Amino acid sequence: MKKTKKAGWVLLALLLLLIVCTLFSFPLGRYPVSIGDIFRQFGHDLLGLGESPADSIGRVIYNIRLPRILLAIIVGAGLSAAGCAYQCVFQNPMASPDVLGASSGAAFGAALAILAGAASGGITLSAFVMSLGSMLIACLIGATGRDKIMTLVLAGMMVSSLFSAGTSCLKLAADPESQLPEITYWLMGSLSGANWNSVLTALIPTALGLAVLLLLRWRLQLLTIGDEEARALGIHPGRTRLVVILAATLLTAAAISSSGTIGWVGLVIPHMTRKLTGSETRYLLPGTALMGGIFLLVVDNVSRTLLPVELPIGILTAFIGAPFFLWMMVRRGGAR
Amino acid sequence: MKLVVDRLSFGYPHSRPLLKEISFCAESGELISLLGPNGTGKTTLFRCILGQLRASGEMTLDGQPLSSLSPRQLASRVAYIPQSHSPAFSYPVEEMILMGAAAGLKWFQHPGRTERERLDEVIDSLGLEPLRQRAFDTLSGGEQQLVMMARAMMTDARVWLLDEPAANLDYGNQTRLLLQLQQLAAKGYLLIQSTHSPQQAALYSSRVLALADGKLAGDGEPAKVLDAEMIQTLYGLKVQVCDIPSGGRNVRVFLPD
Repeated sequence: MKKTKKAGWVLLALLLLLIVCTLFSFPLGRYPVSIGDIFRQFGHDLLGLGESPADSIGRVIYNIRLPRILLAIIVGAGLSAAGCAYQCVFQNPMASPDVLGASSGAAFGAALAILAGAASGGITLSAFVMSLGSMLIACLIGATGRDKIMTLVLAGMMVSSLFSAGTSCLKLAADPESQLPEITYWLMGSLSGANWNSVLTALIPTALGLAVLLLLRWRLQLLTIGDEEARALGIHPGRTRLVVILAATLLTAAAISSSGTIGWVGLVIPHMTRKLTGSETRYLLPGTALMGGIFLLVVDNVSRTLLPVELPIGILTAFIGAPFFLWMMVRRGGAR
Repeated sequence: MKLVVDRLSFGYPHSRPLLKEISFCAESGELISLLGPNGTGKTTLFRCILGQLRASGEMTLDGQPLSSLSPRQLASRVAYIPQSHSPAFSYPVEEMILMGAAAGLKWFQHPGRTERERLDEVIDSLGLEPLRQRAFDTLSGGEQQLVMMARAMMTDARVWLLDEPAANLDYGNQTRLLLQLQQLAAKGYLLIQSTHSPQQAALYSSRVLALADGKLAGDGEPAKVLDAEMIQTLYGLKVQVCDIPSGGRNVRVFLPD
């Protein structure tokens, strides 16, 4: 019982850390907002206490900082939980949200929308539809093979490279003055476009996907022991896997379509969390979501404050994620 | 519990039939050893019984066709104990065992108090308490096999199909495991284990099923089935069979010529 208790405390600690990180993210940025302002603003608006600070501070908090903070948490939690789910479903610690081509599908969709001159809502929608589409193609092909998991992963790779080629074609056709930079910037991933619209469009599918994964998390664990054994224990591995993949892909599509391709989060965060909570999905999955939210929030804070010009967050996650992953592999002698 | 397999045949598409007209009937209390050379379809036979492969022929459990049972119903009647291997991720022993409760739980359900109480019973009865919190992949082969048995016990199934449970175990663990299986059979479980050792089959099991070329070449008490001729049929090996009296019964020993 000792260990389970410990994992419970880890979850609580992560939740507290997320709240603290959120609070300390408000003051960061060019317009000065103090922690005191945050408390006064929320105290006034939520509890009706004291006086609210100046209007301009309220606008910065509500229209700029809050949506961006929320989007970072939503995208981080979504990508990480999706990564965790994929790793369980494919019984492979190296799986990540882009295994089924969801990322390159989304990238293609976004590039297509930018080329067609769509507004930001259109870009999000197109990226979302394309990432779901690429995943569905991979799943349909994957269902035909005898070794389903292997076929699925291979199909994902093929679909992924097909869509990447498509994106390259679109880049060739794009106007090098305006559209090409926009596509390129989108591909690098960034949360700079955060507003209440993008928060809502990301929040709804993310909440849905997360809810399904959290409810199914014990079954998800059964998938990690292999299809035959899982079936012999009385569950339908195929059906369970399909539902989990759909939910995880919904998370991936929601995250990528609202923020561009942010790599590494879905691969690294589940591993970091596993060190703290163990592999039991009961704790691992919620822990991964919390940890992902914290991680992306912190990295996004760095990306918007480190240099006078904003760094695309995708570059930073790669700079942090890749070496961290290597270090972990070398230190532990494998990605267990 | 009475398991009847009637004229079971199976072949993978586009290849020659693997199992041909296998028929046998087994009852609670038996510890059956399934013998046969490599690639003769021992594991395939298990997978047919488990409904993972569609075989022709009739299989019934207490008169009920196995094909009419849902995976969940089947799981609470017939348990499968695979050769020990580590899953991709490492779980604590109690978590591995708890997975056996899956058949009794709905989609969104997690194991609750009932399952945990059952878990305590199972852990107690197999003496696994000291291993409870250990990571499964740090256990020895013998310990892992015990955990797999505990998981099967958790499913409440009384028919167990064990895939070479004693392979990869040292002599001490092998013997302990087989004695444990004998005890379980005495408690009313029906155990069918595949094995590569006629010696083991002769020593511990109450009955032998011998598979050769996809057909049932022998079925009965070890002393009757396992003669020099049968070893020749199964393994293409000439042996001498000696019966050594010990403690009021004969122990059969195979000596290569």
